[in-house]
Parts: sequence; C-alpha cells; structure tokens
Amino acid sequence: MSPAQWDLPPELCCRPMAFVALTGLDVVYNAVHRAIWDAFCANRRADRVPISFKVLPGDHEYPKCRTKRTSYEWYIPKGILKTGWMNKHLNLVPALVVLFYELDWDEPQWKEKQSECATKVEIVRTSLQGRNTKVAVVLIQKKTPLPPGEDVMASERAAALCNACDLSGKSLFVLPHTDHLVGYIIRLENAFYEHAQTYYYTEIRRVKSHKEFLNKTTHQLLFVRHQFKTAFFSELKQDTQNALKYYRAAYSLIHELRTHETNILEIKTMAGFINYKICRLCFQHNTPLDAIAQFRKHIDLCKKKIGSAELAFEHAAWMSKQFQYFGDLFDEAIKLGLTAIQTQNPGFYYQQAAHYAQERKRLAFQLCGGPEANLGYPAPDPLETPTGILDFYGQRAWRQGHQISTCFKLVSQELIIALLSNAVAQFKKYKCPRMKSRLMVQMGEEYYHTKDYAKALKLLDYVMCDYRTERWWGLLTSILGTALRCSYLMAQVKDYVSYSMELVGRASMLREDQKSRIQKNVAKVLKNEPPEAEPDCDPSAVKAAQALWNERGSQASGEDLILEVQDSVPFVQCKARFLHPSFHLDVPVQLHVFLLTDSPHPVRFSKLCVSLSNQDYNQYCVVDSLGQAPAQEDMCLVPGRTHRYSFRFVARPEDVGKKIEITGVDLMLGSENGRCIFLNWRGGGGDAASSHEALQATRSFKRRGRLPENEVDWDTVSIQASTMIISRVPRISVQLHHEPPALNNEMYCMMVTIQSHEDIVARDLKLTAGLKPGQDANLSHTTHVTLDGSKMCDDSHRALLPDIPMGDLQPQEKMEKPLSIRCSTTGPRIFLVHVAYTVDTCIEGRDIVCKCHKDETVTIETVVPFEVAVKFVSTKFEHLEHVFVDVPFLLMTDILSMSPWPLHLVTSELQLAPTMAAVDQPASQVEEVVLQTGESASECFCLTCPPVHHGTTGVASGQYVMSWKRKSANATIPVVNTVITLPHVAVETIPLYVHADLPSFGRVRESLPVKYHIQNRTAIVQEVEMSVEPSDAFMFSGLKQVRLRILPGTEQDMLYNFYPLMAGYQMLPLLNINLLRLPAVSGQLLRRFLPSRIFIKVTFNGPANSGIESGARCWSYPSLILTVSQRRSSKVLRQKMGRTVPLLCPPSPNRLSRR
Amino acid sequence: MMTMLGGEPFLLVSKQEQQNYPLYIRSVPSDSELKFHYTVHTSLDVVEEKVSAVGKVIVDQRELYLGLLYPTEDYKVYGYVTNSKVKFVIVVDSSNTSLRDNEIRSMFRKLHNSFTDVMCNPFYNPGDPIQSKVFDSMVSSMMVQTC
Amino acid sequence: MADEALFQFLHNELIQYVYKSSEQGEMENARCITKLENMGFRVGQGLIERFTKDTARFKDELDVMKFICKDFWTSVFKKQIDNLRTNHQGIYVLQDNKFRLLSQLSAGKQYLEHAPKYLAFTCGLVRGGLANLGVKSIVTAEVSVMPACKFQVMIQKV
Repeated sequence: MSPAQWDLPPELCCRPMAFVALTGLDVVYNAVHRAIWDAFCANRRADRVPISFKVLPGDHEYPKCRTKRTSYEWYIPKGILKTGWMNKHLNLVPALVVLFYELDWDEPQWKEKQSECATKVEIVRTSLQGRNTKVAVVLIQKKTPLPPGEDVMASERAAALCNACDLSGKSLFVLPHTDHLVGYIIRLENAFYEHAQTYYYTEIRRVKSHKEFLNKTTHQLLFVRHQFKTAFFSELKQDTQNALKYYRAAYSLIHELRTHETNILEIKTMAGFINYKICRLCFQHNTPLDAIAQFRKHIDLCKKKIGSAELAFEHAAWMSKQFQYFGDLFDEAIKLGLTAIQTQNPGFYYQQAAHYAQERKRLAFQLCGGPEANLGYPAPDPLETPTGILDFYGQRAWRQGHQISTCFKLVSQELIIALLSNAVAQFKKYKCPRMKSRLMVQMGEEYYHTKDYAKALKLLDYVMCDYRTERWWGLLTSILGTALRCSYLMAQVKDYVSYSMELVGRASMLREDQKSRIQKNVAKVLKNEPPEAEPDCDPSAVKAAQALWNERGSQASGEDLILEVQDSVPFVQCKARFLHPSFHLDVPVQLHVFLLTDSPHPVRFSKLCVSLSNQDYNQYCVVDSLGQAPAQEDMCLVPGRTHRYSFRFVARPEDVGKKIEITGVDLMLGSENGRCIFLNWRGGGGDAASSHEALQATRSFKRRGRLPENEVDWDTVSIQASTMIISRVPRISVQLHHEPPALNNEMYCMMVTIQSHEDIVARDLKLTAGLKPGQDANLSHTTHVTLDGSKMCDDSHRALLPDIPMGDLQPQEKMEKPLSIRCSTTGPRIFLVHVAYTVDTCIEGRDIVCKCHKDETVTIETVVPFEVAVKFVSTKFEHLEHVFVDVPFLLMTDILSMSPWPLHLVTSELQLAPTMAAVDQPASQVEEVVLQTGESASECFCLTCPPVHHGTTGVASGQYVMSWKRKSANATIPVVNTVITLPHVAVETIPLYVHADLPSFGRVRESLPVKYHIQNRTAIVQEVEMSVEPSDAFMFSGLKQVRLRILPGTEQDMLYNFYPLMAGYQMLPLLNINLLRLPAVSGQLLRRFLPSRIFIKVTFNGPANSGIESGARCWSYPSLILTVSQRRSSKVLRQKMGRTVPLLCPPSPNRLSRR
Repeated sequence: MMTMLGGEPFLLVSKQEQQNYPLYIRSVPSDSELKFHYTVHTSLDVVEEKVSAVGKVIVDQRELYLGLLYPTEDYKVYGYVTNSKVKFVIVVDSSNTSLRDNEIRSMFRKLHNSFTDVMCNPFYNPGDPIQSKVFDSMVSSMMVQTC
Repeated sequence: MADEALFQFLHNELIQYVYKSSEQGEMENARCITKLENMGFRVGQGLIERFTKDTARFKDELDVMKFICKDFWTSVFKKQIDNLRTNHQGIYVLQDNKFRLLSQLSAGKQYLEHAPKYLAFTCGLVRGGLANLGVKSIVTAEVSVMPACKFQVMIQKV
C-alpha cells in the first residue's frame, strides 16, 4: 500500500463540467472537421461556457444503463460510492450527444442524405438506451444561410429532417463553414450548454426520487450515496450553492453511519472526499472561514477513528493527506486573491501534514520493530485487488486479520521534507521567522534520519545562529546535538570540533557528564584518534563513520583547522585589551589577553597569538611552548579561572598618529604531531553571548567576592581592541609674546620663545607658524606672515610659514624668533605655532628616533586702528551741502583712535583729485602726533573748486593718506599707509562773488578799514545795489547806499572805514547786495561769503600798533586749526583739561597768500 | 518560563533590548519537553505581531492578555505581555476543556503579580533568569491546580 | 510610597550617606550624582513593574509619558506633573512647579548649587521606569528657582 493510496482521485479534484460528446467529425482526415473541433477546443477561457467536449465515433458504445430498480426493499448496498461513478459521469455518459452531418439545403440527393442522417441519429439513440441524454444534430453547410424565413426550401427541409430524425426544432443546428466559424461555434456551444443543464436537472430529480423508497435501517449508505450524487450533478450543472448544500448533508449523514473495523476506512475515505468538496466550494465562494471550520470539524470527527491499533500508521498517513490537501486548497485560494494572516495560513496545515507523516513513519517502525526489520515487499501485492480496481471507494480487498506486511521502503522521507518545506515557504510569507526556523530544524532532523547528513548539517547550521541570537540555549543545545551526530557520522573534523566546543561551553544545557564525554572526544581528535561514537546513532552508520575517522586520521597529520568562534559560544572565552586607549611612542605598548574556559576539564593549549593591524608587532604577542618557554601551568586553562597573558612591545616611530588594532586572537589547541586547531576570534575577542553577559554584569548588584591577588574577575574585563600611538611628550616650552589686539594692516609683532627642557640635544628644530589651517578660507587671503618685519607684507607672503629650520637646541637653551603678521581684515584669527624636533632615545634597549612636537595656538583679534570722518565746511565753518566754483571752502578730517594702544601718526597727506585745488600748500598738520585710545585729531585744508563743465553736479575730491604705526613699534617696523577715499562733493557756480578784506580784530575807537570786493562772474554787465545797515556797535564812513555796474569778469572794490564803539565780539554792519538783473541771487546767499562778526579789543595804552594796515587780510578764514580734544567721559576730560586747549600754530603769511 | 502539569506548560520571556530569551521555563517533565520549548518559541512570532499591531489596527487591543495565540492540534497557546515587555506564554493541552479564557486570564494575573514581586527583590537583577523559590512554588501550585 | 515624609527623610539620608562615604573633590561630586542616579534607575525599574500591572497596554510613547506624569508622579510625589511639553521628536519636558524633594529646601535661589544632588535620584527613577517600558532615554533636570523643577527626557531611538 503506497502513500499514494490516499491521493484523492483526479475525478474528485477536478472541476466538474458538463460532458458533451461530438460525433460525426473526422478530425484526422477532414480539414473542415478539424477546424470545427479546434474552434471548440482552442482558447477555452473563463468566458466560455464550462463544457468538456469529446469527439466520439458515430457508433460509439456508451456505458450500458442498468435497468432501474423499482424497489429497494431487498436491496442491501455493498458500499457508499462506486469507484467508477464520478468518472462515468464526467467522461463516459454525456449530457448531450451532437451529431455533425454535412448537408446543404440545396443538396440534390436530399432524400438519401436525410435518411442517412436519421439512421445515424438512431444508432446514437440506441446506444444511449435508458438514459436521459439528449441528441442534437448540427448540419455543416458550405453556404452562408439566408436570413430566417427567406429561404423557403430551408425551412421546409429542416422541418422534414426534424421529423425524420425525431428531433425537436431546438435540437437542429446549422453550422455554415465560413469565415466566422468561431462566432458560430460559440453560439452553438451556448445552446449545447442549455441542453446539458436540462439533462443534469433531470438527473438530480431522478436521484432525488429514489429517496422515498429508502428506509433508515438498511439503506443508510444509500442516503449518503444519493446526497453525494445530487451534489455532484449540481456541480456538473454549475449550481455550486446547491452542490455545497448537498455535500454538507452527505457529510453529516456519513458520520451517522455506524463504524466498525470493516467499514471505518470507507467512512474515512468518503468523509475525506466530501470534506474536500465542501472546503473547495467554500474557498470558491470566498468563505474561507467556513472552509476552515468545516476542516476542523472534519479533523475532530475523524481524528479518533483510528480503527485497529496496528493500522494506526495508516490512519496517520490519511490524516497527513487531509492536512496536505487542505493546505493545497488554501494555498490555491490565496493565489486566486484570498488574504491569509499570520495565525491562519496554509503553513500550519502543511506543518500538521508533515507531523502526521512523521507520526506514520514512527508507528510503522514500531510495528516492524525498527527500520532494520525491513521485509521484502510481498510478491503478489496483497493490497491490490486481483482486478486492480476496487468496486467501492475506501474498501479493502482482503479480509481483516490477514498479515499486514507493509513495505516501509515506500515510507517517503521525501514526502515529509516536501511538506515541511512547503510549510517553511508559507511561514516565511506570513512573518513567522521562529516557526520557519523550527520547521527547518525538523527538516534537518528528517534529513538526518534519511542519512543525508550533509543536507541536515546545512539546514541546522543555518538556524543555529537564530537560536543563538535569541539566546534560547535549550533549543540550541538540542540542535547542536543533532549537528554533532551528523558531523561525527560524516567524520567532518572541523564541524565536529566546532559543535563539540559549543556543546561543552556555557551556552550548552548538557549535563556535566555529557560535557565531559564530549570534551574527551575533542581531546581524542586533537591527538588524531577517532572519537567515541555519539549515543543514539544508527549502529551501521557508526561502523561506516569509524572507518571514515580512521581514514581521516591516517591522512591528516599536522593538519591545521581554523575555527571562527566569534559567532558561536565556544568553551573558551577571550577578551583582549590594550591597557590604554593611547600610548606615547617612548612608552612600551601593553596588551593583555584574558582567557576563561567553562569546560569540565582543564584545557591545554600550545600557542596563543595576537594579530595586530601592523603585522610587524605580531611577533611580540605570542605565547608558545617554544619561545620564551613559559611555565607549563600557564599553558593550561583551569575551568572557571580567568587567565591573563601580558604582552608589550615598542611601537615604531612611523606608526605615530596611527591606530593599532587587534585584528584577531588565535588560540592553538593540539600539537604539531597530532592535529592543530586554531580558535580564532576576530578583533578583541568576545562571542555570540558575551555582549549580553557584559551588559547584565554591569547592571548586577551582586557583590563580587574578593579575589586573591593577581586574579581578575572576568566580568570586570572589557575589550579594548585598538589603541593610538601618539608622539612622545615634548619637553620644550613655547611662549608667545605679543600685544593683542592686532591693528588692521599693521605689521603685528609676535615673539616666539622656545626653551628646551630636554636632557639631550633637540635636533632639527622646525618651526611652523602662521594662520592655523582649517579656518575660513578668506582668512588665508587676508593674512600674511613673514619673518622679516622690516618690510611691509604683501599678497606674495603666505598665511602659514611651514618648517622654518631652526637648527639644534641644547638642553636648557632658549631661542627666539620674531614673527610679523599682517591682517588686512578685522575679526578673530587663530594662529598656530608648531615646533617640531627629534631626539634620540632608548626604550627597553631599542634606540629609536622620537619626533616630538609642541603646538601653541593663540586667537588674535584684529581691530580698526582709527576712524576718519571727513566733512566740507565753509570758511565760516558752516556745514556745506555743496561748494561754489572758485570760492574757497574747508575740508576737515577727524581722526579718532580706536586702538587700545597709543597710535603714532607719522604723517598724513592729501592727494587731491584734478577737480580740486588747494588754496595753499596742503601740509600735514598731524605729523608725529600720538593719539591715545579714544583721542582724536583733526586736520583742515582750504580748497577751492576750479570751474567745472556745465551740468556737472559732483566732483571727486581725492584721497587722504594716513601714515601711522603703533607707538610701541620700533623704528624698523614699517609705517602703515592707510588710504581714505574722500567723498564726492556737489558743485555749483554763482554769478556774483563777494569777499571782504579786514583785519583779524579791531580796537575800540580805532579805525577799522574794511574792503569789500564784488566780482562779476557772469558774461554780462551786472547792476548791483549795495547798502550798509546802521549798527549800534560801529560808526562807519563810506557809501551807505550805492548802485553800481560791474563789467563782466571785473571786480569792484568798496572801501569802508568802520569805527568800533564797543569791545567784544560784535556784529559787523550788515551789507546788503541786490542784483537787479538776477533777483534770484539773494543778498542772503552772498552774505555767506562775508564775515559777520569781528572781535574788538579794548584800546590799550601802547602805541596803536596795528596789524590793520599790515593787512592780515584773510583772518576771517583760518586755514589752519588743530585741535586735540577728548572724547572720554567728562571726568577724564576735566583731569586732562590742559590738553583740550586748541593748539594753534601761528599762521605763517606764506600760507595765507591768495592766488 | 514554561511550566507544564498534566499538559500545561508556561513560559515567560523578557524583551529587554528587543531580546526574547527565556527568563523562566517550567513544564511537567515529559519526553516532549523539547517540543514545548519549540512551541513556546514559535508562539513569539504571534506575540510580536500582536504587540506591534497595538495602536495600528482599528480594533485596538489594549489588554495585557493577548488571548489564544494560535491553535495546534495538540496544544492551545496563550499569551500575555506586560507593559514592561515581558512575555508570558501558557501552553495547554487541547483536550483540557476545564481551562477557559477566564481561568487562563487569572493564571496570567497571578504570574504577573508574582513576577512583579521578583522585580522588587533587591537580589534580582532585571534580565537575569528567575531563580526565586516563591515564584517556583507559585507556578507549582498553579500547575497542580490545573491538573 | 507609604508615607511621603518617610520617603523624603530617607531620600535626604541617602544623599547624605552617599556624599559622606565619598571623598572630597570635583570628580567625586559627579560620581555621587551617578551613584544616586543608578539607584533611582533600579528603583524606577521595580516601581514601574508594579505600577503598570493593572494598566492597559500603552498605545505609544506619548501614552507612556502621560502615565509617568500622572499615575507615576502621583504615586511617588503625591501630585501630578504640572506641565508636559514635547517637540514630537523625542524630547519631553516635565515641569513640576513644586517638586516635593526640593520644597523643604528653599523657595528661591538659595542653596541652588545643592539642587542637583536632590534631583539625581528622581532622574534615575524616570529613566529606569521608562527603560523598563522599553523606552531608552536620557533624563536631565533643570532648576532656576526652587522648588520648581524641569525634567527633560530625551528619547534615544534604537
């Protein structure tokens, strides 16, 4: 009995479709017939009616119809459903037989043809004697038929044909063999479908009609049979709703049957069939929950129907199939658009199917006394009936109690594995990673049982890490156990050792004695001896394995096996750490490796080596029995004790600034004459469990017992897998002397003082100084550094001077280096002074050249040294909106010191534009002046503006250049020239210009001659009306009121003799000027050019030596005023009052001369 | 943690730092103990899914008790997750009809209460396996009760 | 908390003890604060286990924070947090206008420099509570005028 016994018959699993037989078609030799048949078969998509067509010969013998029973009174059914029944109605008994016949309406030999056709129909009818199958005739015609009613002959002959064949008009069809064949065929088959529907409807009625003859006592089986048949016909009729109803009825009826040993199989089989149909229809109706509920009910009802205990294996196989088919149905429905969920997906059913398949295998082994007791399959298969086919589904062909001799070679492991892998695929899809892992374990175990150890290992290995990361040690241990057996049986040395080590380690849940046994086996492997067999292994397999191990042993002496243990939990733990995160070059690098074993027995190793990122150091980090020959006990790890191994080495100078990393730790077990196994930890050690353990340890409030001296608590050790080599600590001092802030554009002096505190000569001193790199890119363009402070820096100088050689420095020697920095923008800058040198030292007997360096950085702010304000004023110091052509005015500059340091103004210079002219020689008035913070200096220049082109409104004034340096700067420091561009000024012309000559002061009662010059600057004669207004302070002589003409370009002088009556500042008598031709030019405007007041002194006794005659004519507009004023607070102002007095330089006549 | 008496295994798993390792497992000693471990482990798939669905699904399950996780042929697996993400799982024999939802719920409450006491024990380091005798005896009594 | 006075006295003694058993120096102050914070962490872990025993499952992070502000705070300090603010990006500010552990200390800026040690335990308490609910965080406190106090919780995304 093969497992295929439980495969559902194909006629049950297919979708029932109406069966229509086509006769009279010669599809082999007749092309037209072939085309017709193809049109029926081809492209049967979902939109075509569900019919299954078959071509049968015209004289085909249909199954004989047995004479219908008129009474069931004495009838005792032998079974529920005959094995041939479904097939009969699907494939043998048609709902409709269609006779194809070539006949045109205008056939000349109509009569003969008609009777031939009638004969053919008759043959079919005879064959279908007793059945309700309909017959239809299709006339294949060459001509396109005329519209109905037009062809009189056609209708006549059609009627005649129907008559002859005993057909209703609805059963006669015409198929013109023209271009539109497919269209005609589709119409034809729709008509066939209707006929078929009617047929199945009558069949249902017929089966139902039997019911009244039945009684409950003897015909229970028939109740089931009839419900099943009704349902099946309904399906053929495509009435799935009713089909479901009938199947459900059949299902409940079947469980009403009394079960006993002989019929239990039949009941289960039929229940399985009906259940399948119900579930299938439920999924089809998109009611998956109904399907699941039905299936659960089915399983619950059938689970206990085991029957004879010896046949339990058979029951398990049946259960397995039930689950598998349901899984298939479910999966099918999902493919058609159903959504499954995590807790309800086909995977569960496949899993269960696999479970029962395994159960079946177990039970079968039990029955036979183990797989060894395989009996040959009995020659005449006792499970097969002599005819090969049983009469009823689910009945046995032999009597119960016959010896059950089953062949278990056919117990298909592949089936179990296939089911499991189906389930894996499903669980993967529905986010059940753990379920998936579990099933993979089962698959692995299944492979193990089939002795496919390689596949088993592959699967187990795959899931192992999942269990490791989830820290489910119990499950991991179980998987490792199976894996260990696999590797033993295959004599895979590497895997064997690797699994053993994990099983001995702390993650393993094995008992101490089991661990001990495994550890001893590892020891044997190391000695190149075959290990003891694992318990529970198949004895024959063990025998083969032992041979393999012996073979391995003879081949592989001195074989090196490298085991990566990072991702497992091996029995030796490792943590490596550098003592410090960084080491100076002149200090030996120190490194500790800690080892701890959890095995039951001590572990002896033969070599421990650390690999570092720079492999040159590896030689210093080795413990082995050859080299320094450490004590024997050092090479033996005692369980539970933390062992520490220290290494030290001197780093190479070229590694300064580099990271040294531990890339791996290797522990060699075994020896050269046996087998060597290297445990390799990547990086600084640790394994799959260690990080969590470390975390828990840090949180633990457990009090650690006091450990004896030089012993370490494992949990307190942390891994430090890398360290930096940094340069030796410099023993020099670097000091910077300077006076911040820097002034914009000045040559800022910084003195670098380097002093050595080394005990030996510091060689090759190199200084790098300047702007620290990595700041704003613009700063490097506006900062210039030079060693030569006597010349002004320009853009050719760099912002950073690298590697200035400074020679050697003796112990305690001091060295100075001045730096000059020019900053052309304000703001903060970070300057770097880097001094590098080398010294020769000796560390642990090794001479090394140490490069040391010392960095100093300083932030220097650059500020504006002074601000210059420029203004234009009239000769009377009145603010000017614009200046007049050829009229003198004053340009004033105010220099305000912003520098915190005293500022030495060396000189200043006015560089006039061509559009400006100086009235006198403009010389600097601030030369050699020193300004303190907040003090200001002013200069004043008398200028005129030469005539401009008509229409020009503004002219350039030129530039003002300040030459300065800080007062503290020594003489070699160059002077800074700061150029200030003077503002443009608006220019206007005036038609008449008036100015006066008068002394700088007068005396009471002494004559004061005043001469007014009136200048006509127009090209026409000007009539001028002048008058002098009387004043209380003066008497005067001269023309009080006059009208005069002034020729173009000429000047008229008017002389008055004023006679002051009062002392002090007095208003001069007002001079009114009216231009009769130009009333727009008011006297007000002109009066601005004239002095309005004069100082009158009291007469003194001395001779009236007057400057009046000597004619200091221009006193009214002092060309030179210098003031030094305080802008500090009033308190300071009062203290320094002395300085606030204007410093008046005596006017030198040559400067006063007019053009 | 898994306890099993007459077919009732329990489990409790902690989810500290997204981990799912067992803090306590007890079961009635039997041949199929390993199978229970697997059953409990696989049930975590459903627990994780249910917990992560909180706040997302319209039918918002805010109760700590997660109910029946999934049915197998032989066992019923129930789940419970505390606010501190500690997971309790109880596995019951399918044939045991005396334990209904309410009984299971109250068993979980008892477990949770007892676990809270463990957490408040100064000698217990959260995240370590539970080795409390009081907890043990509580679980034992519960197992005996359901026998 | 059985009795608030008892808790306050115990808390005060705890600080006294931690500080007295340490040596002097700047480093030591930081170490004491860390010690107190760690104590709070463990207490918070245990407390939250107890307090959340009968609450519904938390919907999200904000739900957890609300629980801390209301139920947790009330259980420990007999009052709710007065103001909870968040930037919805993992920063929460819990403001207590009259923080129980500072209320007997000062009502102004006096002793302001002593405030940190009286807040460390509570910071740990909050951090431990949150950690046990699966929310990793950094908790800091800020005082400008006692006894008002702000706790800032910065959630660390995994």
